[in-house]
Formats: sequence, structure tokens, C-alpha cells
Amino acid sequence: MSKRKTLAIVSAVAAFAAVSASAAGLGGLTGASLGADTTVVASCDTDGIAVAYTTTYNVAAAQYIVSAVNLTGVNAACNAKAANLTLTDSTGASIGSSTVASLTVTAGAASMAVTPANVSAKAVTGLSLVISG
Amino acid sequence: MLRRLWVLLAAVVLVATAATATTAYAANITLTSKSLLGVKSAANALPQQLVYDPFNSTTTAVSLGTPHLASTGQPWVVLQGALQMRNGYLQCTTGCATANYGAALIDADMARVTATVDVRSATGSGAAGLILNANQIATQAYAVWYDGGFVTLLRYDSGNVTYAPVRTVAVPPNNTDVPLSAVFNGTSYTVSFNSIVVMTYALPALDVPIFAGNTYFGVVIYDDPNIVKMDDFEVKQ
Repeated sequence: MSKRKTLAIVSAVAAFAAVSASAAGLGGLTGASLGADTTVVASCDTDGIAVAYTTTYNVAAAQYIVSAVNLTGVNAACNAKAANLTLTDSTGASIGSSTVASLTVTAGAASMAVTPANVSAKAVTGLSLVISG
Repeated sequence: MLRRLWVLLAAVVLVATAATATTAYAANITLTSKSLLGVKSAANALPQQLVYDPFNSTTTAVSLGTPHLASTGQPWVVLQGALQMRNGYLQCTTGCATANYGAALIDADMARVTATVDVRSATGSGAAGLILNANQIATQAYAVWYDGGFVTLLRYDSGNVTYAPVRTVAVPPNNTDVPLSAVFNGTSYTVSFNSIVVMTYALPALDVPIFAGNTYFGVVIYDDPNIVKMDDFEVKQ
């Protein structure tokens, strides 16, 4: 392999690594605004959103089940935007989700029903939320 | 010249591949949107209060167990004795004396918790307490108050019983509600009576895997008829 060809491959790998690192950083966001590479993406909420859960003890399943995720501290600018929520377990695998085409934000609060109907509350260790539109 | 073109082409292909991969990753969180927000939480979704039962009833006795549910929705499993709620307290009507303790379990869906119940005695005799980290079959730990003035902790597994040291406590006045609580952190129990820590008991290493995953908790009561009563059973994170 020539020196120039090696250099080109190294550059390409370096570019991939840099972009991947940026993408990985997105998954760890704890709120506030967000930018990615050269494209700045404005957030509709810049001071964080608090998350709580609606749970019910399911006698048949003998465990608490998550039926909804309740958001508070949501900026009014997020109202009527599409929202996508994913609940993950300790391995990072998705165990539940919620998608709404138009999020209803009332007095800074919104609720999203979770599917499927049997998401174990104790299995939930992570949550990611995207509000877009 | 041809060689330079190949090098350039290789670089373009690799960069394009990288860009495609990144776009695919980013697409999961809709990077192309006009607005976007990401939130990550590390807490479990269980409620802070896992079990609560105030044992409320009218003057008519209501049996613990089916169809009665705790305020948090769980059914009680009565293991032994006729446990009834009356005048806002849980009591045992029959079957909780001689060699038998009345006992009932409920699922908290979590093992590392704080369990609390108010206990009271009308005459200064009898015993009442908490069942901890039970599996409904043959494994339970107990934190028991004897109203003669002491508290103890014991673990029971398939017929084998181990007692922690007995701790002396002040005897409360008759007919006074006093909280008895136990905190389990995965390896040890800290027991409090009347809001004062009376003991910390570390499970032997061999016991940890036996008890640490059990999510059933409950009440245990001794003495007939209706001398010892209990109120406000709670299990919380």
C-alpha cells in the first residue's frame, strides 16, 4: 500500500471516529439545547424537563407496570410538536415506547402513554425523549 | 495520475460510508428536525411508596386477604391465622396463639426497601412485627417486637432459624401506636423501634443470595384475642 493511500484511509477513519463520537454524545444528553456538527438544532425547551411515571400494580403479573410517562417543566414552545419516547433497561435495550404526532403541553405538563401495556417498572433504567417538528 | 484517482476514490468512499453510518444513527433521534430535545434518566420507574395499607374499616370486621387489596393495589396472602381489620387496625381473631403466629404477605416488587408498621398492645402481652424478604414458601426474615420490652430479628429458611441478638426497648404505654421499621440494603437489616435504631444485623454471606432477591414483605402477630394490633403498614424505596 502506498503512503498516500494509507494517509487517505487514516483520514477517512478519523473523520468517521470524530462524527461517531459526536453522535454518541447525543445519547447522553440530559436536556437543554443541542447542536450537531455544523448544523445547529434549536431546542424547544432549554432548561430541562422533569420526568415521572404513572405506575399500577398488576396483580396477574405480580409487578408494577408503567402505563405513562409524565413530563413537567415543558416549555410552551414544545406544544403541538411531535414527540418520541423510548424506555430502556439496564442493557440499553428498548422495552417500551410512546409516539405522539402532536404533544399537548398544558401549564408546562404533558403525558405520554406507554406501549406495550406490560413494561415492568423496575426494569426501566433509562429514558430518551425527542421532541421535533 | 490513475493511481492518484484511486486514492481519492478510496477516501471518498470511506468518508461517504462514515457519513451514511452517522446519518443512520442520528436518524434515530430525528436530527433533521427543526427542534429537538434529548433527556436521559437513570432512575427506575417504581413508585416511592411500594405498598401501603392503613387497615381502614368500619366497626364491622373485614378479613385481610381476598378481596381486600392494599391501597397500592396488591392483594394480601394470609399464611396463618384469622387476620381482620376492625376500627382502623389489623388484629388477629383466632389462630394466632400457642405455637402459631398470624402472618400475611404482600408483594413490594422490590427487595431493598424500608418496611414500617405501627404496633400497639392493650395489656402488655403479645408480639407483633414485620416479615421481610420472604419468598412465600420457606424463607422469611422477621423483625419482631415483644411488648414485654424487647425487639429481635430472626431469619428462617427451610426450617432453620437463626436469631440476632435481642435488644431491650422501652415499653410504650398501653394502646399507643409505635412504629417498628426495618431497612434492608441488600446485605443487612437496620431495625428501629419508636424511631430509635435498636440493631443492625448483617446477613451471613451464604444468606445474602437466599434473601436479597425476595420481594414479599408482611406482618406477623401473636396473641388472642385482639390484644395486639397493627396499623399503617408501608413499604417504600
